[in-house]
Amino acid sequence: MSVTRRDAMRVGAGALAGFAMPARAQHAQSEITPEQAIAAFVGDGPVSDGGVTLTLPDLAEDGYRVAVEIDAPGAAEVVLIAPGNPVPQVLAVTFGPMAVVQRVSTRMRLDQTQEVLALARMPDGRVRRATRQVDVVVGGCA
Amino acid sequence: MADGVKPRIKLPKTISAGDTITVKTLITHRMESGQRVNALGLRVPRSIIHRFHCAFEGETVVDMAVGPGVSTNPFFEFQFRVPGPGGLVFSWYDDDGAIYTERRDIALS
Amino acid sequence: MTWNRRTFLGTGAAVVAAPHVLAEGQGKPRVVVIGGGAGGATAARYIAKDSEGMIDVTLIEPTRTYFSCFFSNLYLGGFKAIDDIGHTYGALAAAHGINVVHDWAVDVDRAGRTVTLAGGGVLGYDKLILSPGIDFVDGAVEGWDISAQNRMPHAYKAGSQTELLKAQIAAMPEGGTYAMVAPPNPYRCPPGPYERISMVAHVLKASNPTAKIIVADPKPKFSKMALFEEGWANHYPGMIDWIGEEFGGGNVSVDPGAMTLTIDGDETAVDVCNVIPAMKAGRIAEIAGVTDGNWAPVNAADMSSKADPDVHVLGDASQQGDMPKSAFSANSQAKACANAVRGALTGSKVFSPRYSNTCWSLIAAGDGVKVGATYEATEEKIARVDGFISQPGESAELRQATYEESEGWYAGIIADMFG
Repeated sequence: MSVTRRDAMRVGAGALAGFAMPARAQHAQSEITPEQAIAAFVGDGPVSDGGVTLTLPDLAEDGYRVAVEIDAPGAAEVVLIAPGNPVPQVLAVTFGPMAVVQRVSTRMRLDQTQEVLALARMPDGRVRRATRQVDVVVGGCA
Repeated sequence: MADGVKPRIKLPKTISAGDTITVKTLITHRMESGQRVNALGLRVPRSIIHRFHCAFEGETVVDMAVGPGVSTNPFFEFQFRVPGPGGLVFSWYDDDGAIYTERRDIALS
Repeated sequence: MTWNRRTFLGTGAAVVAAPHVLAEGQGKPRVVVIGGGAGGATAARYIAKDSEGMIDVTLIEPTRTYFSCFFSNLYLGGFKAIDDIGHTYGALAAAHGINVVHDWAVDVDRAGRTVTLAGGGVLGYDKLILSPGIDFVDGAVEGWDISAQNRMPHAYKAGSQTELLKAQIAAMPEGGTYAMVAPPNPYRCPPGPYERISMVAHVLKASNPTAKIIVADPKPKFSKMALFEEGWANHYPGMIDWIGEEFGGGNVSVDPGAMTLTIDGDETAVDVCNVIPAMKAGRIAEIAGVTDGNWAPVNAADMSSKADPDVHVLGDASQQGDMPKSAFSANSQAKACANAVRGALTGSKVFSPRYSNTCWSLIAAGDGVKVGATYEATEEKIARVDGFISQPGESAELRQATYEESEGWYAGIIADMFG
């Protein structure tokens, strides 16, 4: 069993947490891996970079509440995936006709430093992709 | 129904037909992710808002499948073009079966 | 009126006939410290005790009893008596030979190296240490100024304001509303307002359980937010309504006469309104000419002012990099500064500074959390190295232990400051 940052931090009050992060979270706890979440959304369609903007800070002081925005002009549906979280699929949004600007913002949990992924499906079935690397640091009383 | 659940909606104060407005929503909810272990070493079961839906006069504006990776007190902001006056209805679906709804009647200026 | 030394000397009706230099050091190097809080008292004490009489230290502090702003929330919550957080300066004078002057510094002449006091004295210095804490930015909260502080207290400088706020909470009608206007970053004690909310909720839960708490916050999030939100849901469900930046928490005005608070155009009648405005360095730093904007930039190695190598600025008033504005930080910085100042004046060995901070917050009885970090001095700033934070869902035992740790810290820092 790999030790997550959170487990490491439970070791004694006042233990200092370093920056070394495990490569993957405990996916045994989730029914769906990041690859499966991506495959479920993408299906057989082609995936290309660009056409969707994923906005996240480079550095997150508080992994419990990180502001994130996905802007996918023309998209029918978008999905936000955090591969380093125990449950990688964070949010899936379907835009109705009155959502003329296909943009959504939320606050997400990031369990560890990772590359977050946004996918957007266009009406013609093409899938567009954007990624952002976020470093999650701890403490600092900010 | 979870304790102390309270929705908050922010819309512009004045709206004209055809405006594309920013809608901000928040509902107080613990969003118990299902990953936490309690003081007895037992995993606390997942209990989250798993769906958020917004409709105007019965037609979907946005529909969201929400996972445990969304922070406590889920916040969603999106854009909506107002076709005319009418009712904007927000619904949050809780794992425990409860559905919380809020309605805003949009009157035009 | 702008004070300067010449203006003061010009008023013929002054109490003192002529200025005189109070610190007659007989050739000893002189350090003047302005501000007897966590930064200033620590610096004065360490310089005096470690120099073993070789340096003349004067500490200027207007109050005769120092009420610590840190732990004042615990007094609001009923966990401390007011005397528990009040401390006097006798031991600093008696045990360490510090010249404790209970007066206000009203001017600093850096060219002439003098400090002028409201009571008329003028002190010469070789090194000046400013640790004046914070003042509030004028006009920061629409409808509020310092003259309204008795109607809508800030209680963000401890003492009578804290006692006033506690009395106002006790006098709330059944089902009444306690409102807080929280400050924008950067400010003194990042988790402070939220520990206060927790302590007020603790009191109201027992004495006035249908009362409500509203927080208007210009910030989108705050220190230890996940921990506080979890604690509030556990201990005070439904009582606390936090309105952040997204929902107009920064668009606020108050009416102290009518006792109303308006958030994003919606007016609410409130019974208690705790206004904590935007902050800046204690005014003497600006008068001394060491501020740039709201704060006094300093060099990370020794807290010396970037404007003057013979002036050091500690604690909340300083702009140093990554350390939060806290008593722990001020105390940590004071020790590095004291070591450097002693070295400069007497040739004693100067060590590389070691900076650290921990902020403890009490959410409910026995439910304590903390966040902290270690820091290093770089060319550019005091930079965070690594940190730690309590986790949601920790055991009651750990939370109790975390709270007890804070009690140990308090006893330690008070001893560090006052001897």
